[in-house]
Amino acid sequence: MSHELLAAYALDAVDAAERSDVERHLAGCAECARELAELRETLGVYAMAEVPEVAVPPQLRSRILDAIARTPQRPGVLRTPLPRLRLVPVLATVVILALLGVLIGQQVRLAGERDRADTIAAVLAAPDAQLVTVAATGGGGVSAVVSRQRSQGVVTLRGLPSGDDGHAYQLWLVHEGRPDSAGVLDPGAGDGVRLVDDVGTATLLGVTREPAGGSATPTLPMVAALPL
Amino acid sequence: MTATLEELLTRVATGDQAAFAGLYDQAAGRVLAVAVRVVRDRAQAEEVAQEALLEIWRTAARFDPAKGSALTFLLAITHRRAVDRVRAAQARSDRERRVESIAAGREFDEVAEAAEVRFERSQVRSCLDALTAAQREAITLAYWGGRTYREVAEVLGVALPTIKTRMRDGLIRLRDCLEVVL
Repeated sequence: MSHELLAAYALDAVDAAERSDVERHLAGCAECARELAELRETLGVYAMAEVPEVAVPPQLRSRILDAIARTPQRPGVLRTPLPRLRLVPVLATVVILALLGVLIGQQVRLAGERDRADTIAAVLAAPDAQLVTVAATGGGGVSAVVSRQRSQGVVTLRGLPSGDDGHAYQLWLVHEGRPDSAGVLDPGAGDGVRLVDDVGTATLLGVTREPAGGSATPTLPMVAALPL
Repeated sequence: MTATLEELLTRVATGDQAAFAGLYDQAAGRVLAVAVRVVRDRAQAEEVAQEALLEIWRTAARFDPAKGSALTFLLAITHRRAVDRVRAAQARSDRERRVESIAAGREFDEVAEAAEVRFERSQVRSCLDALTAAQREAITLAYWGGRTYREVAEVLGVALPTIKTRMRDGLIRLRDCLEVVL
């Protein structure tokens, strides 16, 4: 649906609601982002051929240069093209590693619980902490505060459709197109806060809806995708 | 040797105000040209150009040379700003009055063009001839008219899926043709 609107979107011929639909779709579809870039390039050449360059009133120059000197810039959070997710077959090793992780996790959980609140506070207070927020498909929103220095992030899900106890939301960190699970919420929960480790150089944080307990690979499309 | 727009925009992303001045000198005439063609009012087009240039300054870090040219980045921002302006109700009624009284884009002095620009223009024209009249019409009404695809469908009295297809097929045909001739 959103894909059909790509040309109209490139022409700025969609309304505000459709614009955000397409943008959400683009966040999870690298192929569409590439097609959009090509259509935009075509329109750029078209526009240049269709209008004569005009002389700019001289006073505009100093007005704009004064204005930019007073205007802060935004960091380039959306700069890297979103990675394409590749679905890999479920490998036995992945399952074994996941099981090992669960066993180890159970043993350290009691000790870990004490430190969890302290760690979350430390991530939020990190000098390089960056906040990214997106709306989730189907309602609700996801935000993440990420510190590259600490290689950790705090992810908050708020108001996602809660659904049934047979399903749960799962977090993924995507490095170079490879998704790694970054935690699973409780079955049926549409709200929650998770501390995420090993953020490293991940370029995307994704949220998917999975069978309760989580999956080894994400079930697409993602419910939310946050560029990091 | 003057810096390319790509080099300048990349430097602008680091907060380089001199690079922005260089970018302005190379591109402001085109930014304003697109704004005036869509908005069709001199004072409003200048405001739109100013808004667009400020947005370019703020968001320059989003420019990725691997995904497209600097000029395309600039024009996409400018076009969206111009369309947003046209869609604001007040602007629309002003504009409709003015469209009748002025010829589009003739309010500013045109700048003499390099041979290269004239060549590119003639190539784009020949590619536009390769589109069907219906595709050209749909693209022109949307891109220069600032209309949504729904409004274009209404104006032309055709179904929504037909308009979406015309826009998409037209742009793809134009893209493929430009790839060959430029």
